[in-house]
Amino acid sequence: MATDLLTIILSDTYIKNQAEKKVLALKNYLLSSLFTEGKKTMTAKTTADNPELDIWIKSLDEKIIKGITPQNVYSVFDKTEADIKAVEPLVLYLPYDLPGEEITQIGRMLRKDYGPKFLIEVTIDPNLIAGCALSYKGIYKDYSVKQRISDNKEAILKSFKQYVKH
Amino acid sequence: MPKTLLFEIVALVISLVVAVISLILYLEEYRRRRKAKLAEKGFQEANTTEQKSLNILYRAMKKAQTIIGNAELEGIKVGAQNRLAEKKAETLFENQLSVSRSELEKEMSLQVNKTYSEYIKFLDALKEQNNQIQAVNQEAIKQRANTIFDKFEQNLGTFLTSTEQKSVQSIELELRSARQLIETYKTQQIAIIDENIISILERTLTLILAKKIPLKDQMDLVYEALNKAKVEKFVV
Repeated sequence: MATDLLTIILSDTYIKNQAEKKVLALKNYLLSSLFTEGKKTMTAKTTADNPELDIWIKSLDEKIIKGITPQNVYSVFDKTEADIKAVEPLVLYLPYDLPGEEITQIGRMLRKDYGPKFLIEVTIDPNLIAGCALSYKGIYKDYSVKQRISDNKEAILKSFKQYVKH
Repeated sequence: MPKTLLFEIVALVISLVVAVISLILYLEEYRRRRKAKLAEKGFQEANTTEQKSLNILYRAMKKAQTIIGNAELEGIKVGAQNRLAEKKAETLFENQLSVSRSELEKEMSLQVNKTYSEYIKFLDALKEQNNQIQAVNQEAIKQRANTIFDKFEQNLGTFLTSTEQKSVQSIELELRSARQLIETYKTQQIAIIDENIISILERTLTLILAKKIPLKDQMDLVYEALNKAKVEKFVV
């Protein structure tokens, strides 16, 4: 059950932070529906703070929801949370925030290369100018335009000085 | 006149005087005893004896006076002879002394002249010797002075050369240091300018590209980066 739930959550979620939020929102929703009203219903109140999450919860397969009972709800969610927490994300440093669609494309591409449970984290760093930098398991690698400028500093200065001389 | 003779005469006179006095005393004693004896024998007899004794005594005294007179005469005679001898001796002594003095004076004069001439010779020799020593000393001083001047000149030359070399070395060192300082400063300034150029470029690109870069280009750059990371096996 926990594996199914994790698969469902990660199927359209590529950012670790979002996955954790989804798990938490679903957990709250199910706890609320299982223990407050006494029965599970997809019309139950989810979270008013994030309409996207409400939509996402309501879009879930009802079979999955029905498979979670008051007896296994905690174990299922503990397991799911632990699994997400165990995933080492690839930190993506971007000069500015990208639309969700582009993030999804990037996530899909990475899943093809590194597996279905691969997650990313997005951090904004305007100094990068363009492109991106990556960090994985504590190792940072800069592929941005700033790094390219730094790598080609001598050539840039040379051409600049030639221009100044002329 | 020898003094011993004079002493002998005086001693003789004194002996005679002592002998006469002894005789007188003896006679006086004899008279006293006789008188006492006569007193015992009788007064008359005594007078005769006394008379005789007195006569004897008188004669003895007379004889004694004669002896004394002779002795005195002899003494006077001896004294006169003595004075005469003394005078003679004085005269002889004075004559001999005069002769000796004149001889001595002559001898002394000769000696003085001789000594003076020798002294003059000695002084001349001394002067000559002094002149020679002075000449030698002057020559030695001259040589010594020449040596000192030569040495001084040599030392001065060495010192000046050394000082010149040191000065040149010091100036060269200073120049090298100054050049190095200028070069370092130049390098630092160029590095700062380079950094500034890069900073300006980066800042310009940040300002411009953040607004102007198309999303597609940005995505292409991201994909390119991810592909590079894949090739480099950055994510393992």
